[in-house]
Amino acid sequence: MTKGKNDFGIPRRNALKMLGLGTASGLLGLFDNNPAHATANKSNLFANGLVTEKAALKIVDLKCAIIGGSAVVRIVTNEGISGYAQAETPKPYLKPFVLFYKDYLIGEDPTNVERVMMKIRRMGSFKPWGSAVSIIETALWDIAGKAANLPIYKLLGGKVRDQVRCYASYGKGIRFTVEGKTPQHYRDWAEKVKSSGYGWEIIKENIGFHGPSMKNNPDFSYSNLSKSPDSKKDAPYYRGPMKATGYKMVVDHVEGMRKALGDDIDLGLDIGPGFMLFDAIKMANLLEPYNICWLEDMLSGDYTPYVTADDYRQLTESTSVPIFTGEQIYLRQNFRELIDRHAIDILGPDPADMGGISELKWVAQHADLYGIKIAPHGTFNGLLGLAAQVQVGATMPENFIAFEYTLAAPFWYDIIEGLPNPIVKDGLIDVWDRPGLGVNFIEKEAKKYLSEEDKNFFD
Amino acid sequence: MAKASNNFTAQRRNAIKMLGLGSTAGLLGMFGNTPAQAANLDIPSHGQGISSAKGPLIITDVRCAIIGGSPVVRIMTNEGVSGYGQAESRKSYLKPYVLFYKEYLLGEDPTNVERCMMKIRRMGAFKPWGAAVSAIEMALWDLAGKAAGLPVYKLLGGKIRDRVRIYNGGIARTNPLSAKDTGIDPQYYADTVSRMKDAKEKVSIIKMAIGFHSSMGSQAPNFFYGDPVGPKNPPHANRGPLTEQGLKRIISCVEAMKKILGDEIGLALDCGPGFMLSDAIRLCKALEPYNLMWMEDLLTGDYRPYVMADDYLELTRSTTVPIHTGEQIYLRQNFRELIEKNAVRVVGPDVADVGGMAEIKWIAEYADLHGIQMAPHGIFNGLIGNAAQVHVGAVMPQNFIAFEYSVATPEWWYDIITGLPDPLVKNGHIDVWDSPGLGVNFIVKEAKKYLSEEDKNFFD
Repeated sequence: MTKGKNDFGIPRRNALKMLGLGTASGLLGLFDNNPAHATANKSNLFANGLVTEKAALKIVDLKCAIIGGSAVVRIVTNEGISGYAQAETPKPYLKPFVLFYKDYLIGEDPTNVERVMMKIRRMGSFKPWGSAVSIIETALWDIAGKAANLPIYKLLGGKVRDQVRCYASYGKGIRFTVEGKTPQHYRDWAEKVKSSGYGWEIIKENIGFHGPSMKNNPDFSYSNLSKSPDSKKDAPYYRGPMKATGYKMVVDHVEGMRKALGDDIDLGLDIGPGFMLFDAIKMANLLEPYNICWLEDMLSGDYTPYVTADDYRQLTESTSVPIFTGEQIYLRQNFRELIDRHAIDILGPDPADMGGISELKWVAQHADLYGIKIAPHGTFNGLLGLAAQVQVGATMPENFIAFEYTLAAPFWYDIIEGLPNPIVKDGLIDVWDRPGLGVNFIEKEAKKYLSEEDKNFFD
Repeated sequence: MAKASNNFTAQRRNAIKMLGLGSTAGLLGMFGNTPAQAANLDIPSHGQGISSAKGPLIITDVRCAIIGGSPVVRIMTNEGVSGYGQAESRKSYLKPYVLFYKEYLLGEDPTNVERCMMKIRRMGAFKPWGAAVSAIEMALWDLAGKAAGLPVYKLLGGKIRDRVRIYNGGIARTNPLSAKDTGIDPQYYADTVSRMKDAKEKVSIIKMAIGFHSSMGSQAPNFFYGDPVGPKNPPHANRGPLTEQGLKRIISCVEAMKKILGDEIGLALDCGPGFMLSDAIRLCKALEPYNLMWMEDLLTGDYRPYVMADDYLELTRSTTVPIHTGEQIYLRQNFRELIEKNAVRVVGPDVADVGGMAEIKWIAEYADLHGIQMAPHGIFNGLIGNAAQVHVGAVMPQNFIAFEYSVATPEWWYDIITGLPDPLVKNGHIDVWDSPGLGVNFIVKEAKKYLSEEDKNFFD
């Protein structure tokens, strides 16, 4: 069970400190959401706020700390406002990559997000090398929102929904492993999924080339890349022609899961990359009877720095199962062919990898123009990443399905405040209205998790 | 002025030290089967490599040092033999990116280059985030060549030419009136190509930066309908619709250069990125009378992490000027659309960014299959980069035009690397050499002088 905090005593104090405001008028401006009051109150930040009252905000520092394995960026301004964002969790190596962009940002006005991004966007690339740029973008939006005293979604065009749907894919208590091959094992698994308390409407399972038990099974594929005897670290993925027994393995598992789940819950499959094109077509066709909501990354995807749109087009045209990709793809330019050619049914860009939340919104609109759906990736994006997903998820067009929910290590819920409690109700998250991302570090608590090297991160 | 060292004694001493071989058998294995061969490093041995003598090589360490601003990769093995590769100079920030791949490589046999690369290749991306993977690949080939006692070109299919054509590249940077002189007027262009035409390298192709790739975007008055970006931007940040004055400025500069070069020396233009598609078409049409070798990166290119093949296709179909792009593109998969659709006439992958030597050779053959020419980028790849270009340039098909020559800076690079021909460039070509691996090695004693405190154990 998650432990989301909703203690408004802490955020108010923190937000004040963050804004560097000591006056009661500042306090009113920040927390009074009643429009009538806002108009009446001359000191309201929205109408008469930092940006117009003082000189433009300027970025004075960019810091990066590794907190619980996750690279967290802090953009510091001359007015005491800071913006925060977070990259995928198991990537402490991203720290120098985040700091690489610092020199380009110093002195810029963070509230002109696009102008800042034009400097650095070109200097990122496919996952994970677009991650640093992406989280910097989100941290800039956090500042822009705080400076304007508006939730980010208001700066991205306004929300079109009050609740954002998410789906379950990873983490203890969220997605469960099928513990065996008997029907009873599948029934047990489905029971756990249904009774987890989150009310998931969509669950995604790792399987095939994306599932460790199958890809390492000699009956699964003709891939014979044996591990080198002295190798210290293996390549995470295999790729190769499928065996007949491999198809059967996948179909048996899917059949078991579908029977156990009944028709209540949609089932998506994260299944590659690793399939040859024809094998992918055959696999998708074999899975048509099971009402799968998507097949993800069959040809390229996770850590393949390319798109192969024409191959995806053939696959997509060959089957009624929705074909899905996108988590590794950076920037709209690299989504263009997938969308323009109707090469895909569903796109899953990750806002922490694809260039940021405004980039994600743009691509979602482009996809919508072509009738392509969107289900953003984000399984390791952490609580700040979750907040970013909610803000941008609220603004996406009607082609939005759900974003991939992220479960953080337990201590995270003690150092971040501002999330609803519980976070997920019936598979949905209520959109909140606090400025910026609307979640903040409880610095006193968060400091406990800083390494010696990062100890001045919040100073 | 290049000061390529050709001290074979030093080279032999270094090579032996590097291989960690004390035995005569090892010496013979490396330097040939006969005393005559042993006495001449230009003649490699065959089939007497380290792996056959002592069991498989195993990677024991991956190091990176910043030498003169250039990230240098050293892959070390259990047998004492090391391989070296180099990324673009002025990218010292790449060091942690190189080390990122270390744990994947430890314990692998470096002579199975492809197997090592399959582990890490997917973990690179568009320039500059494919540079570390590419420099590692270069170092693996250096190791594989040394282990086999063969020049790398023999492991890439064998050379089909004995000398490799270059184009000016770094020579442009050592020949302006001053280092900061980046003019925007016809006179500047005429003077610069005139100096390069007379330079000792006698290049047969000269490429000049023009348009958004030159200072025109920021310095030429009324060049485009946009405000030039300020300082502290990554390179080539200006982009926007071209004015008529901008168009005419480019045309007059090209005219001035062609007056100097005539039809003796080919003229290529590095143009962008920054042009809108319609302006690119208009400019190419206007320049058709000048018989240009190619126009490079008009739409995307340098530090644009995408390809835009359909836009290039439209541009290419609209003009007889050969359209060129590719230096930022990582891996064959990202060249596929450009090539299979004939969306460009020339591709210019950079061996130190595209994924390495075997990758660029594969792409060259794929391009050849589609009638597309090769002119590899590499202006900042340094001396190890030049060596890699020569080896892979020697094996590319007949669609190969020339590679972009790198002049090493600081100049002391020529004092710390041994194995290059002297002079390096003769009549616009580099003779292919035959010493094992990439055939260039550090003179460790000299090179150590330029190591930072942090990197001081790099050669140990």
